[in-house]
Amino acid sequence: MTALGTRPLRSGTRAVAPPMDRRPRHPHADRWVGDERRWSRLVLAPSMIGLVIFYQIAAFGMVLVSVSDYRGAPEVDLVGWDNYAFAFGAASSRAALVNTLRLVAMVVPTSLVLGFTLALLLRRVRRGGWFYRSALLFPAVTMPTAAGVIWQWMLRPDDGVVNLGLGLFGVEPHAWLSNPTSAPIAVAAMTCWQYTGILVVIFLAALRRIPADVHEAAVVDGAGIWQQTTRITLPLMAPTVAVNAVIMTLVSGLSLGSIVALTPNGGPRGANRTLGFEIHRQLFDTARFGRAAALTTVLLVLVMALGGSQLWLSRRFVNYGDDDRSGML
Amino acid sequence: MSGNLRYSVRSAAIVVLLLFFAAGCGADDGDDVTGATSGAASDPAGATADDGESDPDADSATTSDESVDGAGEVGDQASGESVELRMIIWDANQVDSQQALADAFHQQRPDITITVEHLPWADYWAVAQTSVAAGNAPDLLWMNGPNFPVFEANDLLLELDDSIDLSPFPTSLVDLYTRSGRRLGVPKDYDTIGMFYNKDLFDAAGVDYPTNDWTWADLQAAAAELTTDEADGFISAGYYQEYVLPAMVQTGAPILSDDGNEFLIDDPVACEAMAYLESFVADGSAADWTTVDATPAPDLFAQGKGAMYFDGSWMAGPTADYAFPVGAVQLPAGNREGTIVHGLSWAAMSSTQHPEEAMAFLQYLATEEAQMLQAESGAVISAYAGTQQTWVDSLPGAIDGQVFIDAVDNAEPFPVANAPYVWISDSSRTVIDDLIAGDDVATVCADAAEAAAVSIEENRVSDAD
Repeated sequence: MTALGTRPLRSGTRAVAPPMDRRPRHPHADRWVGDERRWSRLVLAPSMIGLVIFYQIAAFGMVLVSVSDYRGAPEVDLVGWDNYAFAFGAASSRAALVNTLRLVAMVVPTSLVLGFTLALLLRRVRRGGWFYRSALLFPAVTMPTAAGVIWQWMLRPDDGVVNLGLGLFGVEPHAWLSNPTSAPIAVAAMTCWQYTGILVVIFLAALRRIPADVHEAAVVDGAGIWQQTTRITLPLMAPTVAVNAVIMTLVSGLSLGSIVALTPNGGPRGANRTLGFEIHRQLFDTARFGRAAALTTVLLVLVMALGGSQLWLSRRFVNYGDDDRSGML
Repeated sequence: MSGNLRYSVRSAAIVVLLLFFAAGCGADDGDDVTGATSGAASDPAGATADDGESDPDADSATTSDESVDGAGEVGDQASGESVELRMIIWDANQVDSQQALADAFHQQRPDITITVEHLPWADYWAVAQTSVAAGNAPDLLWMNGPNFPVFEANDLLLELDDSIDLSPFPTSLVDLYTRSGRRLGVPKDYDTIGMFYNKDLFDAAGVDYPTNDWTWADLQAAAAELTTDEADGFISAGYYQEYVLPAMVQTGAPILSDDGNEFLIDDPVACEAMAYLESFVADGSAADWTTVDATPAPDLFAQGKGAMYFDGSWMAGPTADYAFPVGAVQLPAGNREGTIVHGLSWAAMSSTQHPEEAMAFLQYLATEEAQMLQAESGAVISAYAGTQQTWVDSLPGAIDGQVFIDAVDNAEPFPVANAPYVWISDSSRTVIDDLIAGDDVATVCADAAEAAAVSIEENRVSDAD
């Protein structure tokens, strides 16, 4: 999350005055109500304290563990860069790095295109929009393990729905989870299925903020649906696209649920052994806490770099005018 | 447009919160582990950590000497001060039977109270390994073969007193928890692998039921005879504990090198095991490898899609509920008879503040009385010689449990390499990948050995022995 918070929210200074004044004023109201900052600090404090203790201090502790040979025994020695040598040198970790990047590369564009398209379609729905929105969000609140069981059944080679459906078009049955090429695709598909609904909701929210007159003006000028979408909607939505890209990078880069659910042993030829999978393995199967911590540090830096570069790109290439840029994260 | 932006940011923030929430609900390990750890810390018996300010290192160094002198016989040294110990186990179904053992021991040693705590399997090993540093380690715990090397290499276990007699237990089980001459666990129970068969499918095909004297050739012939359009004669799989390792034992070849660093499946004799398992798929009397990769062998058998398959004694009870009558025999013999035996043990943590009391309980657990008490619960086959009949009698179905007990005589212990058990999952995955790809058997064996060697090398627990 740190990547998102690097830039101060300048927009916060243009205080959105709450319509408090209509209510009868308490004699000391000014002390609190008048000072938004004090209020916000007070309200934020509990979560910030939790964040510092359980994430930031813990993250620091993790870096310490990553230079030790901690394995559960009371005696712990510092081993310097050994664990990082493993994280970058061992064949399994290098393969995991590639597998992680491949998963991110498959999930992020697919879910963005899918989410954006669905949002455009849903925007035209006049009645019962809530139904589609909740239906789309449903996978996100389903337990990955439960969803994994369903997906495993759907992907079964002999009687799975996917093969039965493809069979209608004359496609030969395929053992999706037994094949090193299709197993990562299955994980990517399940990840998209799980989280695209969230992107749709965010896209929809942003779409609603685009003033109708912009589109009306475009129609007057003779722009079709395609031109409106690519020339108006998309550029205006660029910051939202960036935010969604970051979300999906985090989700797919850190994801473990769908991988463990679909291919608990890492998949055929280890094709689904991502960094998350290797961390889990070093932690719970071999009790090499130092290695797990080093791999986690690498993953953290990787995901932060990916997410950060997406935000940077969106700032670099999209021009909103000075005022608007401040609203960016 | 700034409104648009802020709105996006705000909804994104809410979604991120949602994600954390969802991740928390679905998290299979992370969150639960912390929960379990803190739960253990708040346990009343957590007092163990407070009452000795002595240096833990010094303690564990002198522990074995003290206990050799100290805990002579159960019951002869009530020190007057009462001691509370904690034992963690992972099977919720056995909490009562294990607590019954602790209570029976309390009758003999009123000064020692033992509380049995259940931890879910998913958290068990992580909690056990980290609890020492966290200062809330249990005093006693269940141990299994695959995880034993990690605990042994990190000196987390207490060596057994010389006075504890393990001679009534199967040697293969005692050996499983002995390393460099140090005995570190009291055998608790055991399981062996046998062959289960669907009597309905045999009756329909008019084939005689299998016997304990079958050979590989008998199985191959019967499997071909039993294969129909609806069901296969046999369900072949690449699982190590149930299929590959027992078949290796039957070839007569050793499983691991003496140093525990190499898996010897690439030996030409050992590789006959792989050829044997592959022969069923090759001649069409077993489902192809992708089928069994997608649907586990026990499920295929339960669905009536195969007449015979290999599984552990732990299935003897559950198969009584199947829609068809199930029988079980010993595994067919290859160059020799044989199967794999694995069993759990009870062990004491070296970090315990009360090594003498913990050792006294282990000594009690190694008695016939305790093992019989456990056997009467019917959940597991107790390891102590002569207590097995109780389990056989407790089986609900028509299965003769005796075949799993007789199998111990020819059984080899579950192989414990110089690395945690991930070498087995790594090697096993390679085998199934190769078989699906249609590689020849020699290649499968070579790749399996290579995958195991890489995994053992990468995760080796110690450079000693």
